[in-house]
Amino acid sequence: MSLLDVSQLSVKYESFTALKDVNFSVENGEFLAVLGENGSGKTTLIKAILGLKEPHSGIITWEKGIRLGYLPQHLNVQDRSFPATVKEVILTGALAYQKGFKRPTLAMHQKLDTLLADFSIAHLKHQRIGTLSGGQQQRVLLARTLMSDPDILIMDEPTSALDSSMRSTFYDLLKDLNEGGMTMMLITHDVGSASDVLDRVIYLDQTIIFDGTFADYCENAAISPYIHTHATHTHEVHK
Amino acid sequence: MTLLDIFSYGFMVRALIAGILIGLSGAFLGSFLVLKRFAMIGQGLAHVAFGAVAIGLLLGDQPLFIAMPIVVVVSILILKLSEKTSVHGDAAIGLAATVAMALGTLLASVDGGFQTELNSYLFGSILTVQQTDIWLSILLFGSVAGFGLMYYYDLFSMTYDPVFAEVSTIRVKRLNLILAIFTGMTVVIGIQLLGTILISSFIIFPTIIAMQFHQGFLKTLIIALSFALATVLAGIMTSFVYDLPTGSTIVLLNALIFGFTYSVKQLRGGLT
Ligand SMILES: Nc1ncnc2c1ncn2[C@@H]1O[C@H](COP(=O)(O)OP(=O)(O)OP(=O)(O)O)[C@@H](O)[C@H]1O
Ligand SMILES: [Mg+2]
Repeated sequence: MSLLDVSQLSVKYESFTALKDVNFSVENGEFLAVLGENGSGKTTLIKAILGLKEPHSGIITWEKGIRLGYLPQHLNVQDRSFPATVKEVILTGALAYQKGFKRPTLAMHQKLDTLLADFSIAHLKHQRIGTLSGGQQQRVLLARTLMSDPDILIMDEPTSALDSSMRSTFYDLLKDLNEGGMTMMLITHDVGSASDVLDRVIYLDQTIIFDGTFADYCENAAISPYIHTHATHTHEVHK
Repeated sequence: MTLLDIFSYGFMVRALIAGILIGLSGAFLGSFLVLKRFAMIGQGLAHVAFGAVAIGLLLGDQPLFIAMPIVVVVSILILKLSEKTSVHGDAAIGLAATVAMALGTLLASVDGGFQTELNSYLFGSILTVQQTDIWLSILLFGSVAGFGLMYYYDLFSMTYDPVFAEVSTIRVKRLNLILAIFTGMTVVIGIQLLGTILISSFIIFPTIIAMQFHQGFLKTLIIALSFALATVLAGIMTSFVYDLPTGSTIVLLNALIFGFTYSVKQLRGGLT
């Protein structure tokens, strides 16, 4: 059975159809990229499969007991005066799934320190999150998501606020996690940097217009001029 | 008269016990409400309570027992309305508050008999705190404290980032519902002491004072609870010794402390 199965999914905002007849499955251990132009419905698709946006029609089936990790495109929290430390925010990622009387455990604290080190934000541990830069905040939210050891990590343009050195560190980390068995679903406009890690590409424009391996995606000149230019660009990166 | 004499007055002891328990409950709930940008729900529910007390007075001599379920239900309605994206939280509160005030005033004018009594609920009084109020305060504080200890991390998570909390299987809607119920209870139980006009200060002030200290969430919560405790104690005693209205004394004390902490913060910010 697939990790996720989406069948005949349509999503509307009022009368505007953002997604129509979307069908795909995600298998365990895949590294999948969802690509498409601005406004093509990528964020909408993710919100629908996460249950954050009610679909107009269609069926979304998750494998039972799956643990979802989600990194939103925009920070949900804009309030810079919010009284919370980096440590407090990251710990919520693990505590959410703790059963019974919730308290941070030693293992959680250790994991927290490992992730802080991975993302080079150990020095910010006790700082208030509102005082961090956008990229630093994004790293904190990534760490929060990874705290829960999700079965699948769903990321909406996670590298948009990261500097280029952090970007490659980030993809290395995703690659490690993926090799360790974590399924990855990544929305990005930055196919170039992600090209090393991708197994599969879904290209979206209100519905799925391409679904195949990354290599096929690069070869396929017939899909659309946009993809073609993109693919050529990616080839150049590879050279 | 020494301060210790205060404890020889039964009504003072009752006022202190009720005040502390309601103050701590309000400060705890307020930490989440203020940060969820829902602070005005306290003020809105207080207005609703005014209307509800009018209905209560019309029906009998235990208006708060009738006001309680009404306010709790309206609190839940405000929450549900604000979950719909077409009505903003502040607008939902404004709607409920004005309708209730209009209703209360109308009822009082139709049946002129209880106008004066209704007005006494505007400001409350420490003299009127009864044994029943003590029991109610204990019940409220016990439930809020139990809820807080049990769900602290879920409450924090969903206050900071409700979308993430929801994806992480935290029951955000259910927690909001419980917050709404406890807030309604706090407002009604607090009316006896502070009156409908001033009760929302219990919910707002401790948190905004604590936020001036620029700490993390847990520390901010603890600071808020400490200030709630201190201002209730100091306010009730001062108002007794100098024969001042209790609610106003507590509110103004809070305002003074807020002004002080805010200025210190600004000064420090300016110097560094
Ligand atoms: N809350 C909303 N209300 C109304 N329309 C919306 C809403 N969110 C998205 N849309 C519309 O749905 C379409 C898809 O939007 P979506 O955010 O899913 O695009 P996207 O592929 O994620 O774009 P981007 O690359 O810019 O992030 C767009 O045309 C957008 O205008
Ligand atoms: Mg998007």
